[in-house]
Amino acid sequence: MRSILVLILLAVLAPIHAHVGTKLVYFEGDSGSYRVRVSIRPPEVVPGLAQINVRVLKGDVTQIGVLPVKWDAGRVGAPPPDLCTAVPGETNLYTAQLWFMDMGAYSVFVDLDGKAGKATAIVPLNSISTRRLGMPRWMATLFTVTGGLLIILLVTIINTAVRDGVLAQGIGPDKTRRRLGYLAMVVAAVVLTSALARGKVWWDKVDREFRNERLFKPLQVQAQIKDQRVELDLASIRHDMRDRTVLVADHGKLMHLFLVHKTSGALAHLHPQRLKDDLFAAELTALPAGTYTLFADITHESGLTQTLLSEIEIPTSLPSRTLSDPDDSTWLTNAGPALSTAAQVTVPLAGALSVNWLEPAGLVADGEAVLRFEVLAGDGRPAPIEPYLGMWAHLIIVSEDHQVFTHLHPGGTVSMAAQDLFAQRERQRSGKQSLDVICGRPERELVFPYSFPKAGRYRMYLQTRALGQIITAAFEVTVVGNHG
Amino acid sequence: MQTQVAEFPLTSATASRTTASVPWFCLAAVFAATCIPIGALWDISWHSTIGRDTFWTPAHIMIHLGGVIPAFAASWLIFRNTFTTEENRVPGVRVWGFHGPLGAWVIVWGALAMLLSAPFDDWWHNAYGLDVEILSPPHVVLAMGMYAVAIGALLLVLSWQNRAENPKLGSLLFIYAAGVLLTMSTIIITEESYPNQQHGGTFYKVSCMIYPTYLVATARAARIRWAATGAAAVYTVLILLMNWVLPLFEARPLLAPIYNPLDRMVPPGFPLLLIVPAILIDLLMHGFRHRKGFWWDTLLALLLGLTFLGSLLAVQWPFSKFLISPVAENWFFAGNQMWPYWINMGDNKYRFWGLERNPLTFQALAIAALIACVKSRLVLGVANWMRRVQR
Repeated sequence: MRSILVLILLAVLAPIHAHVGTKLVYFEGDSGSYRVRVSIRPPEVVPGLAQINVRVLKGDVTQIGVLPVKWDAGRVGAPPPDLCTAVPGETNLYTAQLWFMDMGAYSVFVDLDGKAGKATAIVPLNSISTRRLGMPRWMATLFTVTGGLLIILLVTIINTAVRDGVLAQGIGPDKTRRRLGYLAMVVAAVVLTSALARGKVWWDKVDREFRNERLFKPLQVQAQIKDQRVELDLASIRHDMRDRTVLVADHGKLMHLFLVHKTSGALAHLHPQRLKDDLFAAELTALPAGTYTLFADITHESGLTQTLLSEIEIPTSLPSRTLSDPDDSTWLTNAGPALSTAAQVTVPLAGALSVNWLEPAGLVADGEAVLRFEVLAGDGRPAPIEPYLGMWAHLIIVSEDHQVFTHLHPGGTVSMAAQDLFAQRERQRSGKQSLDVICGRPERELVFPYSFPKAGRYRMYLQTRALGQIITAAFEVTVVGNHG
Repeated sequence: MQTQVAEFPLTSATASRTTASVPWFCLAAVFAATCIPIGALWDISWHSTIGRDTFWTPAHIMIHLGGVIPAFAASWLIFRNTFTTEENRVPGVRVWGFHGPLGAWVIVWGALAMLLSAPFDDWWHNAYGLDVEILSPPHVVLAMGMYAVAIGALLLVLSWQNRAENPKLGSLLFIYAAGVLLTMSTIIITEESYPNQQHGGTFYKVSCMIYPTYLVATARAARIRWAATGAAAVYTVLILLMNWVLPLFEARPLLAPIYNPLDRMVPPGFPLLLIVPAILIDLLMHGFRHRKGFWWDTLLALLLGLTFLGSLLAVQWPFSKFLISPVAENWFFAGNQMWPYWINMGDNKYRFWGLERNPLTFQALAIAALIACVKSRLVLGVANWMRRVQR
């Protein structure tokens, strides 16, 4: 599925040093007879270098190659694979770097070779610029001082060239030549200053174009509440979408819409229908009054995924109603208080079910976090879970300030629809694969590889289906900084 | 104080400090500066074919050598000149307490600019991504440094030529250095000079802005005939050699997306036929050799500008049509073989581009002619100084 780090508009407009974190792309799944966990740190600026890590979880792999594949070029338009090197001190971890040269939908193809033969895992990701780098003060000072010295030196050279250049050695300049020298110096200073000013205008233009055309910013979509339904109009952002391909269904839905209450954390996971070309709408059921942040996940035919943003106000609590889409769900509160121990956090749910978050301690920003859960029945045995929206489980992670939003699955943070699109384009078997092959059937634990992009408080919502019901368990999380 | 200005022809007094053979620093500077355009063309081919590079690619090393060798030679010259006795000095000027030939100072300045461009370029890549275009602000700083190194080498040779009793050898070296500079200038405006752009107005305006500078200056400052032709010949031979040598090497893209599969290093493309305007410029300059002075030079500049534009148009217009045709797609003309791996040109390679937005109108031609004439006049003024430079 997908994982998109979202900055709300406030963060986008914040000063450039207001760092909100990096994003890592995770994929964990079976590929042929092997099982791998791939993590990719995409470049923050494109063209740039991505860091690829491949951990072999199952199978005897002798060689791993990785290559970047752009959606409209395919594997035939990719270079030969780069071979991963083993990470010293690790037995099953391999690493490589790949250049991403273009903006848009890419996949990293991970070629696995070993005793069980060859296999390829496809890890789709967005190749986008997400950061505008400011120049450190020391560097600006260095450039100013050395640049200034160079200009003074050049002006001095021009002065001496005009004053003394044509004189035989040992003969000094007369008054006229001195004046000519000074005049040349002034002219050179004016020309150089003009050139510098022109250079600054050029630089500003490049920077402006980068910010307006290449820097990826989450799009603000128009939303409103009407007749107890939420409507989103994409017409106003159509031009800014950066991807001209049509929207495709991810898990059978064109849009996955999440409404998150600003204070209570109440959640609605809805799937709006397209009413007209750019108008989407979804029915609402019981939700408390207040301000909500809207996160709308969409997938383009290219494989590019985006999260659209909005904010709505629900003035009075909405009454309960039956939703026409059986896959829509809401969460208002857990059935009881969570019980925390060093080993796990247990959240009780209705119907005597409970969800355990195992090994909850030690979450560090920007580090690899493997989030493990189990769903238990009333007798303490694992409850039989069923696919929900084509996946065994969904995990929605929202930071307290709503600046970070992620929607992931046991297969990682990648978009399964994008993965299928890439696979279909390469005419591989992925489009016909069963769910088991794509992300592995969990025996007891639901495992989500993830990396929290920044320190702070988060809320995680685990969603799955058990006993015929969609169940949602919410967990409070505190992530510490990677230095603290 | 009495001032003695060296006027053409040189007096024996002003030529007193010359040597019969070419000074080592002139040779080192000029031939090392040659590494710059060759390295740059190699590097462009590398980026267009392979894409992926490091600081230590052969092309980069060649460019750096083109800066480092002249910089060391110039620094040594300044050091030696500063701390040696008056009679052992190479003629030069004093800057900030140090003494050295003008050319050496310009080379040092160029090397420092190249050095400064490195962290600037690195920051630029981090801020805006690895650039795939030739022109970016840090690349312009680098190009200014490269230009300065080549100009410095040229000044070293010029002052030696102007002090020599027999300036022929110096003139030949000067013409070669001017050809190297001309080659560098064509590289800088590569993105405005593809054959597919040579029916548009911009190409002729840019050409009139750039090329008369080198051809006219060379013709005026050299002490032998056919100087502009010689410089244009150096440019033509350098580009032809790169055109024919680079595709001999197998290579393939190592970056994605690849829209144009390649298996050989791409060539820079057939050189412009600057040799034709250069011959006419030499003939004109020779015809005006006895007519000196501001107004004669102004008239000459007018004729030079119009001649340059007219002859360039006359040869390049039909030749570009040939170059973009399938007939030119062979090893000799290297037609349509310069396109990088990231562009699938399709039928666009057989068309002239942007003729709707940028047609070659009478107005565009008039502007180009004006640019060529004004540029020629300014260059004649500078070249008169170059012809007399002693230090």
